[in-house]
Amino acid sequence: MFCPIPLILLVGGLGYVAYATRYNLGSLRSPGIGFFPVLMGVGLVLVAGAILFRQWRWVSTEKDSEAREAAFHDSLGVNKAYAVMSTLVAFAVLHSILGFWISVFGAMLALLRIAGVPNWRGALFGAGITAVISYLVFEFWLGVLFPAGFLR
Amino acid sequence: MGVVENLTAGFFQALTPGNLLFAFLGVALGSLVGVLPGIGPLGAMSLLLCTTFGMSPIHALILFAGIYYGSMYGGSTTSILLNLPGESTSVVTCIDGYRMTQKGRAGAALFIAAAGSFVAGTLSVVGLMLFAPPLAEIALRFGPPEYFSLTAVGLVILTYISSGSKVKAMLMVLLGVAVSTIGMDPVTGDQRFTFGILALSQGVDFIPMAMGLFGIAEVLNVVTKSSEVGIVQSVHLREMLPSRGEIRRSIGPVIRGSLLGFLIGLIPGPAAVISSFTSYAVEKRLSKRKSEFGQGAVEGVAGPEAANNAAAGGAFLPLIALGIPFAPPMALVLAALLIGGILPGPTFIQEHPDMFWTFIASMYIGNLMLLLLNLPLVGLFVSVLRTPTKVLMPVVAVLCLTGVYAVNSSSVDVWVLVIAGMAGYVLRIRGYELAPLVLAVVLGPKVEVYFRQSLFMSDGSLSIFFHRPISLSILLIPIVVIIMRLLVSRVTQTIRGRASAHEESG
Repeated sequence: MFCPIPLILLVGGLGYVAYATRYNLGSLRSPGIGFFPVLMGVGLVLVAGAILFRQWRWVSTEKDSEAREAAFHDSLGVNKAYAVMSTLVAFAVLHSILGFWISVFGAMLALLRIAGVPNWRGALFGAGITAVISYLVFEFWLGVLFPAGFLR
Repeated sequence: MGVVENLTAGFFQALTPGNLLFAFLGVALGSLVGVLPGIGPLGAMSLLLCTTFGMSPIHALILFAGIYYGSMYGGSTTSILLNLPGESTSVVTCIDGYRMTQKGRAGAALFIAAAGSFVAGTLSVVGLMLFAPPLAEIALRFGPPEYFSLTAVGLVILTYISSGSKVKAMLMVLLGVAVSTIGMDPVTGDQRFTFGILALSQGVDFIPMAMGLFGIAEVLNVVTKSSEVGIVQSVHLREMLPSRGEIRRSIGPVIRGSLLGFLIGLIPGPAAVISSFTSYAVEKRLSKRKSEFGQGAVEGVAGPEAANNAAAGGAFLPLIALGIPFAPPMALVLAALLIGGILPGPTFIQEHPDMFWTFIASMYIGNLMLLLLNLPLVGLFVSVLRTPTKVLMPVVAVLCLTGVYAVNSSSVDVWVLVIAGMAGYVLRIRGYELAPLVLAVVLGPKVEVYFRQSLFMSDGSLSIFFHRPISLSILLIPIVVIIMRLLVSRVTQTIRGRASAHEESG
């Protein structure tokens, strides 16, 4: 079963090393700001490469890797995972535009439905309660300022 | 002043209403998050970090310490009653704890776990109290080479002791160190890898990263599995007394687990988890009733529960004496202290003896509170588990999103949380451990600073790490461990080979 993580880290590591070499590397006597990142980046590339090589040899000897990969994805309930991830990304994008508490309400509503709360009424009630309690605790009691969004 | 005088003064301070209140809040919250899957002590401490701005540092320290060791107590309750570990530290308790429940000995298992945890927690505080001052004095002689050796060896050991693939753990350490280089260069103050984004100039904060990797990733994990808690067995107080035989069989495992846990707590990484597994293996090996293990052996509950509590206490030693957090929750304790203007390290006990001894005394009190709180209220804590995961997990996710913004009022932190959560979920299901990644983010800047300062000192000679006795001694630790392990496995193989050859010839 092919795992893209070492490949992503290998490519990312190469980019990281290339970017780090733009900084002053200095010398052993006086290491510059790029010295340590280059060392770590090279290590990252080598280790990711080693895992990738080992994985490639293993995958090439495995006959039913595609079937296993499909079973693996099914077992994870990937649709729910994608839905939760999309909700979180939407929150990160929208919280400063819509306002934090409206976004909390929206995110909670979506997450409750994804997690399996069967009806909209229950989900709306849960989302409303969570947003109000969070507001009272964090903004009213602790005095933290959150983005007001378009309500400002 | 001697230890007794200092401790007495500490108790006078710890018994003031304010300190008692924070100790109680800490252990109660710790027990609660220990019971609940998903949020954990790290998430709870991260959420509460924003409240420490208006708190005295000693209150923050008492609160966070209570949450950490309180969660160890809470985790065992669900392991024993439901075969569901609230914390990873209690996974091994499921094996025999749940079997005891099935045999109608749930109350006894809970009592043994709580009493063992109390004894171990108290012994670990004794260890912390006795060893932290001399270790801090030794650490006063440390310079950059010694600190580099210590932090670098810490990361190497973290890789070596990880339960999964060592190479994957090493990859996570390197990734964490690479992430830690984003932001301001710790030596010159120049910007690195910020791509002109002002918000990145302070670097990637450890808190959203840890909350994402542990909190959000756990939410994703639980939501996708859509499992619900089974029927919770109710336990009455009168059923909780173990038999004399069970008490007798638990004494040895508790003492051994306490010592083992405290020592393992000193090493970096998920020490509490490792200590519980190690204790279980040791007890199984030493027991005369090996066949009972896995079938409800009381030693399989007493040893691991004592070990994980002692490890939680031991984890404070490197932080208090050296100023280095070797476990992710300790990084949050460090953050809370820094917010209060306190820098833990070799001079901490000299400069703030009142705070150190009050903290020690509050840990004794907190352990007693946990014992009194957990035994009678076990039913209450377990009833929290009846909250359906379809409600609990969205609440945890939204608390993470809100709490992480509240710490620094930064939208970048929300992005870091979300990205780290998604990455953590994928990494976890692909067999990559997350603790090395988080600790590398915390320790990375320290490793770099000490490394560069050492090279400045030595005019570019790497021999500085080997010429200084303390540094060399620290660097030799993993080499000795690896050689010993190789020797042991070689000897074992030889003995096995001879035994099989003998059997074949016989």
